[in-house]
Amino acid sequence: MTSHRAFLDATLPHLDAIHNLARRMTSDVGLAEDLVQETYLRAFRGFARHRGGDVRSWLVAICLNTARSQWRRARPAEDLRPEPDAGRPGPDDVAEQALAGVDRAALVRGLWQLPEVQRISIALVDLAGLSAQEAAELLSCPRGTVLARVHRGRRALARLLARERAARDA
Amino acid sequence: MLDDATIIAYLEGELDARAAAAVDDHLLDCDDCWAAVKEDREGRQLAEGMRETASPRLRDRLRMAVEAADGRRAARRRRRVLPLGGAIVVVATGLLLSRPATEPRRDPEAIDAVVRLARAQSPAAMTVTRYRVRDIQVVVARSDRPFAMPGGARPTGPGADAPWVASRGEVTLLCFSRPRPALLVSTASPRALTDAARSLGLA
Repeated sequence: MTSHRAFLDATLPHLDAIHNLARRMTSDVGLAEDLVQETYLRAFRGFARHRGGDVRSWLVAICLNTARSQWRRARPAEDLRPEPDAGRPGPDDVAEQALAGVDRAALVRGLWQLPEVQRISIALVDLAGLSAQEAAELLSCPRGTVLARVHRGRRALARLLARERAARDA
Repeated sequence: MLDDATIIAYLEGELDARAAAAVDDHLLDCDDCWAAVKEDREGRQLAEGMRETASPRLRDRLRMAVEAADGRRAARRRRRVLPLGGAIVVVATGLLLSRPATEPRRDPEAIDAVVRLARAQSPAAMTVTRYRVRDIQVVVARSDRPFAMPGGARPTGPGADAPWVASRGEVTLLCFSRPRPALLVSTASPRALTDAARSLGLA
């Protein structure tokens, strides 16, 4: 088996986790995919040195470091592009899907309004599926700190969406 | 009112039964703590609802990129070996060239990816054909829809319809949007692939 095949066999099962993390570290689908690719290429270069351990956490760490070093300045303020699936409801339950799209866009905006430490913690735990302990090791902070950031971030998201819905229904 | 650490431990299921029961009792009477629990649960559900599945296109893109990176690495290794073992390589190459090939060379994965993509489409949406033009193998995918330009590709001329070319490792992609979208994939150089496209009437 060639080295790239061994690498892909080991890492592609974790693509969804890395993709979800990248989506919340960048505002744009294209940038997220570039970040995922750069993560995989960096991981491939280091694959020979990777000795055991959790592949997903290893990839997440690379993605996080890559995002921080390359994309931090790309953070948008107001010009978030709409989600690719927003506003494209299917023929059935059009209204419901349109509303879901609105909620989703509001959530994406809300996530970007959170302090970075909360956004990253939520991306790691709720989106990439890491445990609080794994996230804490990646972020070099106590597990309790990650849990507190996630808790505050989740509450802020819930309140934001409640406000958006209230304003929409008013 | 409970502190955040207690509420978080409650939500994480880390309190013993007695402590959890005490929090349950407290939540019946404390609106602020109940709001904290409710918002955490809602926020978690909202955040998890944002999870997306990576597209097959991204998966194929990664395969291509890693395959290309592997090709570049192999090429670097070959270049490093050459000064030391150049004579041996030259003799070995001569021997190989003097013998008929007994095993066909496997396509790079980038080419396989195009073929796989094409096979996944309905026949009307995309067709794929292999050609041999002079000494080079070319895979041509044709579609009614334009092919998206990948990262790192460059247009070969002005205008939105200009052909674009992308090289990754040993693989070159050349794409035309007119008269009908066509994507050429080969291990040939961009120049040789352009010549091949002319020979095939695509350029």
